[in-house]
Amino acid sequence: MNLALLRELTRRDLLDRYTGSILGGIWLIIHPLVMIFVFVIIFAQVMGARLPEMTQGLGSTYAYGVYLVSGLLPWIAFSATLGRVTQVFVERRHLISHVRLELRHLPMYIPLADAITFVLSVLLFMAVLFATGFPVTWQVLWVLILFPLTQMLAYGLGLFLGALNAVVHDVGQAVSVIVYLWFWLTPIVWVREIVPPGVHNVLATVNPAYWFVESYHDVFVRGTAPAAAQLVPLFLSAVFVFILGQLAVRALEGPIRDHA
Amino acid sequence: MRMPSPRAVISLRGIGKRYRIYARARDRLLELVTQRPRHRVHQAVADIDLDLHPGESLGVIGPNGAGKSTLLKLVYGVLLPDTGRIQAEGRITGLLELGTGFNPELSGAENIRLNGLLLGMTLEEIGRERAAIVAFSELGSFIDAPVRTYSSGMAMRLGFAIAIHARPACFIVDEALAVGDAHFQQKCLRRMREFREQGGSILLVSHDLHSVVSLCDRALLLDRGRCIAEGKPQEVVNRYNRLIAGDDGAIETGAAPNPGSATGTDPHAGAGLVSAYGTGVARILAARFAGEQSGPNAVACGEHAVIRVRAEVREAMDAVTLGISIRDRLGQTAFGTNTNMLGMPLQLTPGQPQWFRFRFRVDLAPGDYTVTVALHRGDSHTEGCYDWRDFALSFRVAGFTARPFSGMFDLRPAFSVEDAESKHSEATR
Repeated sequence: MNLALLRELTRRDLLDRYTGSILGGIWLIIHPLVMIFVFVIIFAQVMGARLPEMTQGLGSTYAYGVYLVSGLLPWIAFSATLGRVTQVFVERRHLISHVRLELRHLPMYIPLADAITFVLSVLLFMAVLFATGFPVTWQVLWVLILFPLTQMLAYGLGLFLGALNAVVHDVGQAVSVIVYLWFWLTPIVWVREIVPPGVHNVLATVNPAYWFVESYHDVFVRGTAPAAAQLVPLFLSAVFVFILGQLAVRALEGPIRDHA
Repeated sequence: MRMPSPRAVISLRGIGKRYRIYARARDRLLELVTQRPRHRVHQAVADIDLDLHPGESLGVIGPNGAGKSTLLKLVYGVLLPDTGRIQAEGRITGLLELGTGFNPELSGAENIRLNGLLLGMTLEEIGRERAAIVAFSELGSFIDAPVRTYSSGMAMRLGFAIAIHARPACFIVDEALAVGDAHFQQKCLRRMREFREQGGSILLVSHDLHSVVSLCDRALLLDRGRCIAEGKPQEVVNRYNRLIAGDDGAIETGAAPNPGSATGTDPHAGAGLVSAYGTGVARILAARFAGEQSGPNAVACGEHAVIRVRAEVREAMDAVTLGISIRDRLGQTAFGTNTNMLGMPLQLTPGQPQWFRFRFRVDLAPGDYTVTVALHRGDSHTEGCYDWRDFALSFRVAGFTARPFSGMFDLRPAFSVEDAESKHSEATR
């Protein structure tokens, strides 16, 4: 797959949903902007939500809103990439059955498009943080490492499940249910201090989303570097799953094409 | 197994493709869990060896379900074989069945860009070829409308235009041409000939036997996934006609009441007088073409020719029609008639074969023609077909007995100079 094609597919993926609209690509910004505004400003002002024991943003009116958004943004990118890559061989079957394509490379436009949405959202988020005077440290640069790892994880897992889904469509349905449950098993809305230590330890050990979401909380809310206990397993699992996904597509290429 | 040919654009060795057919979706899972087979195997293609050289065009024919489309998809690379090896040099483009991989929401122009990139073209190549693609597709201002508003013929035109302008080493067409109108079909065939003359290879699947004969250097007959004949297109087409008539290998069948009248033993019958389809209640036994001066299978333009057909019926019937259809080398019907159109009802007694003759002046342009002969009911063969034989005869129109012309038919024009007087009288009348 050449870069021009990847660029074209990515651009189409981002902009095609807005064809015929007047604002076009501006909608790409409006969605995250409204979400960030609602969570950071409204949640803080109206709900008066506060977070316990947060070293850096302690006492800040906006602490919980920042906590929510800093976990939601990577989760949205992760779950969107995972879900869409899982469906890609089914949704793009007309392409697979009509054009010669490298199957492993076809879905690459998905994490790329979701990355662009993410980058726009994070920039907006940062702007809101500065505007509200919420303390931001250089630790946020960790995002440059965290985000690629997160997307590798989503892409690899998506390829693996997508290969299965091409043959048995139930996989895709199951993934959307599991992702919903997964959301609530990850400290995005809730904070880790409110769950029993036993439950928390299990989640912290087995849930890859815990590793990256808590890492984002570390750099945005707590103002610290991501804990090694999250960063190391995140890195290892991302690499492992990425390779696993490639192998699964290679192994199942015949059946995927038969079902396209 | 043959060794791969070094010069081949495409080389297939021992290619086989199986499908596992599951009655229900959950059988797949049950099979995995219980390790007991719950599927039946459909062998779509088996043991195919094939070489396609630069500048060569190969036609693949065969009955429905013979594995033609599967074979093309394997060559194209959108399916993987279970056994064997495929080697392909250079870019392969083409049209597979219906549909083209277009995004229906995008305009034709945007799809040129996307499709071109998918076919492996660079942006520079696409920019260079864009005007030619739009011109060839004849879409005009529709090029800026979404592809979902296109007719299937329009989409096919665009797909063909992009695929051929991508400058492939091998061009693949699977039936897709059938969607277009006659004008565009001819245009595509012309373009494919040009492509072949420039050294491109063509792989064509078609039910249109005439285009296989006129376009291909070689043909392949598939039946139930296997290659059962390979060779000159005309011979393979004849073999195919015998195959679908159910009497493969022998022209004489039990349907012929006495062996002496069997068509295959008639030395003057057209070489291709083989049954294509029909119920066989009425049968064509022999057919001959002769120019009145030129002799068998030859005629000059402007000369009279006679087509003689020997036919019989096996039971008493009314409304039997004998028809002939003269086709040019592109398969276009240049002229056709039948006894119904001529108002000459056919009188046939069971068990008594009879010769019939059509006499006509051949005002056709010089070239090679074939004749389809048919026995059917009433107006057309769609009402009931007794015996239909494509390629029953072939003949050549060589030279002119009258004045030469260009084009397909001699319309016998008159030419004169209008004098001023008659024009004046016309004006004052």
